[in-house]
This record gives sequence, structure tokens and C-alpha cells, in this order.
Amino acid sequence: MNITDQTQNLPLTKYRVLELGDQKGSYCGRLLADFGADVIRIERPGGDPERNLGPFHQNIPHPEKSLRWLWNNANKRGITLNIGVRDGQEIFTRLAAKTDLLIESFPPLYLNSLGLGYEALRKVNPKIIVVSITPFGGTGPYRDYQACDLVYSAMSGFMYSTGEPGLAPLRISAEQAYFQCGCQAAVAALLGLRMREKTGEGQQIDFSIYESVVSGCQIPSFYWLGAKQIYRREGNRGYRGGVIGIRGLWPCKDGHVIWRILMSQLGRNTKAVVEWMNSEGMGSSLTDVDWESRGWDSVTREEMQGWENIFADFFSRHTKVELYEEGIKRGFVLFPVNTIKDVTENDQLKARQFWTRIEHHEIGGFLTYPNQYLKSTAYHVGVRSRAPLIGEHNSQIYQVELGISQDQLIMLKGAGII
Amino acid sequence: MRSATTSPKKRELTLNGLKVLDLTWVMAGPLTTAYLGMHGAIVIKIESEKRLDHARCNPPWLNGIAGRERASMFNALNCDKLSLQLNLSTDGGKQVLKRLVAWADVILESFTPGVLARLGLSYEELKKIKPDIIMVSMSIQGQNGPESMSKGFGSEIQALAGFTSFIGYPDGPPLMTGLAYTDFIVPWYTLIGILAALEHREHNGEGQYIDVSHLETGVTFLAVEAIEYLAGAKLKPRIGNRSPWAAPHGAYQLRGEDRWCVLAVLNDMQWHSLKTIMGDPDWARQAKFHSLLDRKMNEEELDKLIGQWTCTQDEGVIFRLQAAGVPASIVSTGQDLSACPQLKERGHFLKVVRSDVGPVYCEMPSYRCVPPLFELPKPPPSFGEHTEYVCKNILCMSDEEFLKMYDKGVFY
Repeated sequence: MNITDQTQNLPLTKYRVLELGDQKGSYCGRLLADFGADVIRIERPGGDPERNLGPFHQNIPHPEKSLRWLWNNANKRGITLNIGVRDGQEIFTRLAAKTDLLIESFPPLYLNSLGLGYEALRKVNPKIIVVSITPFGGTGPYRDYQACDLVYSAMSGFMYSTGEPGLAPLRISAEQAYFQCGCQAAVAALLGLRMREKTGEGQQIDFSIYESVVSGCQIPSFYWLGAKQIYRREGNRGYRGGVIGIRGLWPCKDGHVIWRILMSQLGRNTKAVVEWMNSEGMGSSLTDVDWESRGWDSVTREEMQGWENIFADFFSRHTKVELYEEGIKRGFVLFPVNTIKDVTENDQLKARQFWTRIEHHEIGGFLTYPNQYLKSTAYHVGVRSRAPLIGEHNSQIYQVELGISQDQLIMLKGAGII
Repeated sequence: MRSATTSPKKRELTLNGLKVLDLTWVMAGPLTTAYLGMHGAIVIKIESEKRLDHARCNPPWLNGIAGRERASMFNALNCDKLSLQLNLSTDGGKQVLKRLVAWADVILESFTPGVLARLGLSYEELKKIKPDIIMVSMSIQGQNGPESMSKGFGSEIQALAGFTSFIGYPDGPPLMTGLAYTDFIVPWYTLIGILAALEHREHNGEGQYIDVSHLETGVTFLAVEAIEYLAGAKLKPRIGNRSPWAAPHGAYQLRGEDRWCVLAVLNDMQWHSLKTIMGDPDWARQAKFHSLLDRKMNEEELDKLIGQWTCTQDEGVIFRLQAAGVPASIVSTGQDLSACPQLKERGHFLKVVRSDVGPVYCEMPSYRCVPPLFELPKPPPSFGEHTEYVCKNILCMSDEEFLKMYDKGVFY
């Protein structure tokens, strides 16, 4: 693949990025690659453990078929290198000398122990920016704690806000933390590059995954820090400071929808639904309620329950699509609870060209990826090329760029260095 | 309407006094511009009595007392912005806005698609005023497409993006989260887009229009599941807090009122450590819990037994688990977050003192570095606090012009 052609006009093409570590750093590098940076993923010889993460294409666990690996590492080049040995460290240092940004996600101070920490690298390249991504940050009492997506979700406040009261707090059953981390670390990296324009010098950025997940949650902190209230899970209701929450999730004919009974400033939302219900003879006592004037403080539990029963009955007679489309027509906010199947079939995403097919020779076909999650009039942001195979660009980078000979490469391979 | 003195943004900071015009409201947009502000941008936020920011109108209220300056959501997400009261439905309001466009580097808006165009303020129109303007439209579903006109809030869009279908107890129905989940995804993508746009503009002098949506950025967080489905996988039932590749892995109740922990055993060593910390109970030595495959097959029983043990424990068990290398934590409440020693050490939450209502709080970026890229922000503005300042000091209006416009209701 010719990277130069495909990245024409993208804003970050002048930047070279090295990525060392694991899935904690890979989405950060991926986003920079999407905007045109030349991101080189450095894996250990034989392939990074991220390749062991499911789900797998056709459920076949294989290092070139990990869909998680493929998504996180699209648009990158890939080389293998063992930085635990001297030859590997020398090669890495040569690469770092010509790199703008290093993203690394080793445990705190690990690179320092190899003589590849920021202080060492900046002697070789004063302009290098090192983004160090760790679970809790490079400092603090939790610096050496262990984490995983479940721990991040729990510590961030998300889980306490989700689930049925009395039953276990719930996470989203799909890994989220490393995406949150990747997005915010990419922002930090770009800010570091911006600062470097002014000062001419690089720096090390100490990034905490935990903090990024907390910043991906925030609402429980509004409640506690502002009002000393503890935002808590209320099943399918939204927490409302101790009084009964407003119901949000409703079964319907073929699934579920989300819609909240909104009042006063947003009462028009409810009025619009009731008008529709009236047109089908189902408005009943809801028609007498002045949704735009009343506030929740005046509503008793019995009254709310009564309303909910009428709404629930109405929703149960309609499909997700019927309810959603009528919402768009009549201007009320209602969304279907889409399965991932529904998401992939969503008309809006298709019309927005949200999906792209990329060829994968090693699996003998194509995979479809989300694409164009941000639309710019200046360039096209999305998946241009598949993630690298193990050591796919060893020759290109080691021989062509660094001038290492074929014989030397064979020697390094045999010694487990690349 | 109050005037207030304010000093220009420090030019030592990363964004060098980048001029940002903020037409957004509620959470996602304001979070984005606040982040730019912390890193050195000057942010002018447009507010109007005709269209009061929902973030000012809803609880939680500071100390439980309602008031447009006392809303926690507003105070957390609008630090250090200049508040300009501007009525965009007046001709004068539109004029002032156009003068602000001439001033601005970046404009961020989150109206329903088409609203700004109807006010004569589309990207094409604004480009005539400032050819290299970077304009960003943040919307629920994007600026075009069959469903672009749907109204929505972050609280509901979770369902459309697929998140709600991934929340629920094992084999149970979907459950929503009370949180406006996508409101804290789209800002980061928007910031990447803006910073990339600044690189582009520096390189060839061009501005651009960026169209970013809650739906599309949200779905990227379920990309792996989408790719899997499109590659031919079947829809799977919900698994709650379980993991496809680890056991035990879940939430377990502790001693105390609704106190929970999570723990995960990701390898044999961690299983051994957990057994030791549990006091090496007989049940844990059974062959059916010996290996990962064994534990996975007997997961329901395993969870029950671990839960029976955690119920006898207080939060101190988490420190013992972590000391032994087992991923574990409390299920944090907002109170836990504010007391968290790690977040304290990192300075994640910042107390900012408003002269009118006292201390309010906001979150700092998730990283540290020296020299710093951001500064501690000033307090959030009161409604329309900087109207006169912006008009006279930034737009260089004379006193007469300002008063004339004021009388016409331009600053309502």
C-alpha cells in the first residue's frame, strides 16, 4: 500500500509516531494515524499479546484475526522488536532519534529501567514528546495498582449509576476504557505537539487511564461535589436526588425504546407523544395534563404510576421503528434500543457513509469497519488500510530506512531481536 | 447586566490565546470549549434569556438551592469563559455575531441542523466574513441524512448507538444507564478534530467545516462488536459484569449499605492470590475451580461463593487484593471519587471560588507534564457577565453604539 497517496492532504502527515506497549496505547496511536500521522506499532517478536484478544474473525483465535487488534491498529505500520536486549535498544534509539512522538504504555518507569526513559531519549532527540499511558498515572498511591476495564468502570462512577437498585451495579458489557483513554491521550499528544511549536522542545506527558474514565463519566461528581447527593442506579429510571426517578426505558412490540416523561421547559416533548396517542384514541387522562406548566414537584407517586401505565400500554402496541419515526415527525425525543445488528443496519449511518470495507488477504475476504466518525470539508478521516501483519514493515523500516542489511536482519531474527 | 474586568489569556499556554466562539449548550459542547480554555484559548460563550442553557436550569443545585448561577452542571463545564448575552433573533444580535466571527479562530455550535443556516449564519456565509474560520457543528446524528432532524439528548442517544443493548444482567433484558454517556465521548473527538484543523490551517492557511455527531463518535466505542457482527457473528445475550475470557470477573457486595467491589482474576497467579486472601477456604480448592476453563464452567457457583465471602469484608479487602496483584476496586460513588487519594494526588478535581456563590468544582485534564500545557481555570461566568467587556474591549464598540443596541434588546 502506498501510504503517501492515501494520506494526501491529511493534517498530521508530517508527524512520525512510534508506539510501544499494548492495547492501553493502541487506540491513541490509531486516532493519530487516522488524521495522517505515520504511526509505527512496535510489537515484540512473534506479535503483541493484544493479538490474543477476542472477538476473532469467524471465532478462530489467531493472531492475525483478532478484530480488536484490527480495529485498534488500522492505518498503522508494524514492526517487531525486542527492546529488552541491547541490539533492540540501539535500534529503538535510532528510530526514536527521528520520531516526533512516542506513545508507550508500559508500567511506570519500565522504560527508564531499560535506559529508554524520557531523559535518555531526549538526549538523542530533544524534540521528542513521550506520552506515557498507565492505569493510574506515573505518580500517586495507586501508581502500581492493577486494573482492567471492569475496574475502570467501577472506579469511574459509571457502575454505581447503572443497574437495578438492590442488585449488582452494572458495567457496559463491551470494553470502553481503552477507547476513552485513546481519545483523550490523542488530544494530549496533539497539545504537546502544539506546545513544541512554540518552545522547540519536547516533553513527557504522564497520562492516567483512570482519570480519563472518570472524565468520561462526570455526572456523579456534579451531584456530590455540587449538592452532596449520591447519584445512584435506579434501574430504568434516571436518578433525581432522592425522589422517584423519571422512567426512561420502555418495552415495545419488538424490543425496547428510551423516552423520558419530560415536563415544564421540555414539556412539549411529552405533549407531542400524547397528541399522537390521542389520534389513536389512547390519550386517556394524559390529555388533561398541562405538561409544559407542571413541574415534577407537583407529581405524586400514584399519579406518575398512572401515567406510566398508559404510556407503557401505548408503546407496547408499536414497534421500535414506528415509535422512532413518529418521534422524528412530531419532534419528540425517542430512540430505539438498538442491538448491534440494528446499529449496523441503521439508515442514518448508511446515508452518512459511516461504514467502509477493507480487504484482508490473510482471511480471504473483506471486513467492514466504522469509518468517517468525523466529517471534515478539508480531508477524509477514516480507515484507509488494515492493521499490519506481524513484522509486516520490518523490511521497509529496518532495511530501507535504517540501512540494516538482509544478513543482519536474518541474524537479528534468529536471535529473537526482531 | 454586569461588567467585569478580565485579563487576556496568558500567551505562554499551549493554545496561545486561540479565539473560540461558543454557541453550544448543556454538556458536550461546553466541555469541549472549556478544555480549549484551560489550554490557553479565549472562549466567548453566547447566552440568552430566550434560550437559557439547560445546564443552568436543572439540578443538582449548589447546596440544594436553585438558581441559574448555582447549577453544578453549568459550573463544572464552563470555567473561565466570557459570557456574552446575545439575542440572535434580533438583527443587531446577528450583526454582533458576525463581528465575533471576524474575531474568532474557531466556532463551535450545537443547534439542531439547519438552525444557524436559517439565521443566515451557515458555514458558507461565515466563510465570507472569515475565510479561514474553523467551524464545528456538533449534533446528535449529523448535519445530513434521513434522521438528522431528530432532536435528542445524551441520555437517550445511548440507545440508538447500541450501548443500552450491552447493559443488563446475564441473559436479562436491556437496562439503560442514567448517565448521558455519549456527552463524554463526542468532546474528545471534537478536540482532536479542532487540533488537527489548526495544524492544517497553519500548513496551508485553510479553515474547514467539521461535522461531528454523538451517534457516530459513540458507535466507535462499539466498533469491535459492530465489526464482529458484520463479519457474520450472531447476536449474543447480555453478560452483565462477566468477561468472555476470565473468571471470577464481576461485582460483589461488601459489608455496609449498598457497598460493592469489583474484582477480576486474569491469570493463575491472581487466582492463587485471591484464594490466599480469602483464607484458603476448602471450596476454593475443589477441582472445579482449579483452572480458568473449570472456573468458567462453574461461574455461577463461583460468583455466589465469592459474594458470600465479600459480604463479610469491608473496603480494606481491596487494598489487600491490590497488594497481592489482583485487579480490584470499590464501586465508586461520587463521594468516593471526591475522597479518592489518587485523584487528590493528581489534582483531578479543582475547587474554584465564585465571588457570588462560593466554591464550585470542575475536572482537570487526565494527564500531567512539565512544563504544563494547561492552567488552572478561573471561575465560570455569571449570566451575561462579560457582555459589556466583550462589546467594548474585544469588538471595540463605542459607548453610544453599545447603548443603542442594548435599548433594542440585542443583549437580551
